[in-house]
Amino acid sequence: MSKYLLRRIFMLVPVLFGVTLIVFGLLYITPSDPAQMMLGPNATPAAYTQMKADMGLDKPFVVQYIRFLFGYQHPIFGYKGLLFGDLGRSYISNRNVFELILSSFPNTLILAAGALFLALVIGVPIGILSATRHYSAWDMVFTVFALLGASMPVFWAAMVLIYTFANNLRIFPAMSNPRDFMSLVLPIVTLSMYSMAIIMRMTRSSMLDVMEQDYIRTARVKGMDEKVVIFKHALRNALIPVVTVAGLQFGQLLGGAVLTEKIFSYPGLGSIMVDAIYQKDTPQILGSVCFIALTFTIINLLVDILYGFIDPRIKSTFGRKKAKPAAARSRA
Amino acid sequence: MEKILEIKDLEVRYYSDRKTVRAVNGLDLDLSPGKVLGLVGETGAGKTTLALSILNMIRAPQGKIEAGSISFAGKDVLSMSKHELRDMRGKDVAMIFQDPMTALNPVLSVGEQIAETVLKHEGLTKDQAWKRAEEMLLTVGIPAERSKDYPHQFSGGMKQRVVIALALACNPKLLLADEPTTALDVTIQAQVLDLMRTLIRDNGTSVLFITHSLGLVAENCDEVATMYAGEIVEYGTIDQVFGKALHPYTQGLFGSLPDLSEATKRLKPIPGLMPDPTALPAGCFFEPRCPYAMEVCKAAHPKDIDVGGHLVKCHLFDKEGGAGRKA
Amino acid sequence: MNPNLQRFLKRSARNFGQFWRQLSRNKLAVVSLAMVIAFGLVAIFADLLYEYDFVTSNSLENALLKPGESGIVYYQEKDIEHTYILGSDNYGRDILGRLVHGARVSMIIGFATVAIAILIGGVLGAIAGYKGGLFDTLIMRATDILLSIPTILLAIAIVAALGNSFFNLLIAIATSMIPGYIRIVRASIIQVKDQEFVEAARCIGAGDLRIVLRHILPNITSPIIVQATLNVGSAINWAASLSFLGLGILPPKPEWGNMLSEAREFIQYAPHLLFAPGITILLTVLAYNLIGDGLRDALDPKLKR
Repeated sequence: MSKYLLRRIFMLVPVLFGVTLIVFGLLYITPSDPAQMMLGPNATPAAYTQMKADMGLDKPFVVQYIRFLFGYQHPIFGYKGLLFGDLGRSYISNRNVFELILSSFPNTLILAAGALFLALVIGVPIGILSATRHYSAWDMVFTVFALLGASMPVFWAAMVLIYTFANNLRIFPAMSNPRDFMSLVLPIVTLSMYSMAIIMRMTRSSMLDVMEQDYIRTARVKGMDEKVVIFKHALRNALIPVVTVAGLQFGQLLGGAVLTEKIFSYPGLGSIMVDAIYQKDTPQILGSVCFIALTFTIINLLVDILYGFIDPRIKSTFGRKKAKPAAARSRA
Repeated sequence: MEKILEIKDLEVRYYSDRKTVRAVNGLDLDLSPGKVLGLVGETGAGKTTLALSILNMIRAPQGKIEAGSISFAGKDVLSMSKHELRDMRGKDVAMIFQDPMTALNPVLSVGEQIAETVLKHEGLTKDQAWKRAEEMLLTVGIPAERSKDYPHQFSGGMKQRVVIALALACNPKLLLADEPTTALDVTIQAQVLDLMRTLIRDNGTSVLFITHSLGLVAENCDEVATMYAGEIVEYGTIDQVFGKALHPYTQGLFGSLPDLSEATKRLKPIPGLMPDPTALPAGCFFEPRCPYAMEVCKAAHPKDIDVGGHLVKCHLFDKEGGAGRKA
Repeated sequence: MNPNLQRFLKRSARNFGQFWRQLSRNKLAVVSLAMVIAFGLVAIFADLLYEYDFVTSNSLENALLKPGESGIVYYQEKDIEHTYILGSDNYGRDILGRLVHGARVSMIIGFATVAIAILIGGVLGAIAGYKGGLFDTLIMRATDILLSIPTILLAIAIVAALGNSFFNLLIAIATSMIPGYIRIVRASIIQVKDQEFVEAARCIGAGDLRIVLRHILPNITSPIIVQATLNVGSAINWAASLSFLGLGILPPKPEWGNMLSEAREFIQYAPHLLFAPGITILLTVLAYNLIGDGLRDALDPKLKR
């Protein structure tokens, strides 16, 4: 088990390296000019050249990238490098990039965790209900709701919720901040809709799949109560792919919180990143995207580990290649 | 002696969008206590459906028991409440499925799977139930300490032992064994069958032994019934049927077996296929494949004919066997 | 006609007939298909319904009209009376007209991104699955890297880097979808390539390309068609989201997402600004999802019940 973990963590290195390369490469080709931005429109060509050199932007891509990873010595623009958790200061706010990320990330985490919690608490029971009452009226209603949830643009859902609950009914505020529970309700509901739909459909199809299995028939033949059959025998098997999906959703929620945060003016990492993009604040963009990618990757790793705890077939074969259950692949 | 199992005129249908599958058609069968009845027939003859019907486990809405009665130890299975059914299943009537690979729940330890059954039916404490589970595993030759292991940690033959332990954990009066060894290697088959035979004899359990192998029937059973297209076409003791098979279909089954004592050049397979269960012939179901088919076979469905306690459903015996009677 | 070809056509027609019967049992999928076709026609003939210049030019005196209201529009140097069927926005532009032209943008983005993603993802996935070895490792590592950035974030980063334009939006969305196709194609090929019919083909001397095109491709079309249909919906959704953030197609060009972005401040006075584009996006994406589901059921023989 620990060997497997070490191997998995080791495999993260090239992936994260690739992520930084892609993000850095993307920003390198961005047609923005930070030196010009720092100096304003009236700078002399000499000052401009000097600024470019100070910022290290006159060097070729490889040099810039290596500096980005390992640090850059300069009294104003210097930093210790991504590997040492320091990308210097934001061009705009002049705050340390990672400080800003670390102070806003918990806020995003609150939204994402709240949304995932809501999605699981509502999605899983409804999925079970839909599967056990297969083709009933309830099943149809829930299926339609799930499809609506999965098809609805997040930003529009947010606007409709604001229009209804903030502007007209005045139950919840339209602006959100992490210190006010009431203000968190709308963004969490918004953010959870898509995941809820996905988790509901996954639970339903996985349950349906499992209920057809021979061991469910065995449990019935043994005289087990239907409740025991569903909750003990079927659910534990059915939840295995659901856990995977929920974990992946959590990563997507962290990234997808961008739109929700923006609309509810929520001070999360997503808002900071989008603002940085608007303002072409390169260090802040780099830091934010790399940070989210790192978190996302770590969450996926944790999901894999969690997986082992609910599926004994994997626990004992940790380290060998694992086969994903069929339900995870089909009928997502 | 009172029969442990009596099935009369059983009709089971499966419904899909457009078609109706006539899986079991007016089937009569009974079983005396302590006897082992072999039920032979091809794949698709309705053997598993019959076994599931005995447990009243035909799943709605696709499947439905349309007519007939099944009585187990004098009680009508088809009119039992859900509660009574659950008490009967696993306790009085147990079932072993064909494929041990899929019959056990992959996320529960084998001990847990046996113990929960015992816990449900025997009114024991949790510790006692686990103790019983471990004893059962020992009985089938699995060390007690493996009770905490999960199904994937066992081989196919070992899994089937677990399944047998599970089925026999509550000393059932009737065991439905649905091709219990088909999925196993030949060498393992013999071991598992030996084990089953011993346990069954020790407990006095009645068994419905479903198989498509006449060899296994000869070794393990007291009586034999041949099933074809959802009905029993021949029924008798092992001596009667293996001594002189009456029904052309049973004869066909024997003809398609290799016989070491005779220098047969080729096996004689039964020509044709089982009739489509969504469109069964009006007369004898076997008539399209029968080498002795007569005019009457096309027109009238044969009734059971008693040839000295040996029942056969065939028009060939209309004259010899006297009046047709129901078993 | 060549008898082989004849037989092939006959079989295809029969397969299609069977597939269509299966699909047409799914009422929701059929309705959705009809809707998607209708939207497609609207997108194609958008210029006949509303002139592009008309829907992009301001007419401030007609701002925020309610659905059904009329106004005098000064357009192409003359005053014309115009009825705003779905009302007007804060610049006095016709909402329905903008939706119609937005449909064109959305359809193009939906289909073009998926086509690009299938082409690139398909080729890379085929190489990875069929060749294996180093190719496989490299391609799958690259896929892992792309997948370790949340999809919407990757698209945002790409548009941010390349700049706001229709073309860059296409690239951003297509790139986010490529890993999905690499995985599907690779998995299907690995599944199929060691099966006996492929070995048999190799035994009679068929080349790699021939094996892929002739024997493997037909076996992987079903999952790709399903994924593609679902992805057209997602692409439309993402394009709207990015444009909403101001990273994509900017006003005055008509696009569903940027219409909603512009509507933000006015929804209290003119809720039709909120509901008309939103419901249009919702229905479109929903339709593609329903068709995708229907196709999956119709194409996957395991699920036939």
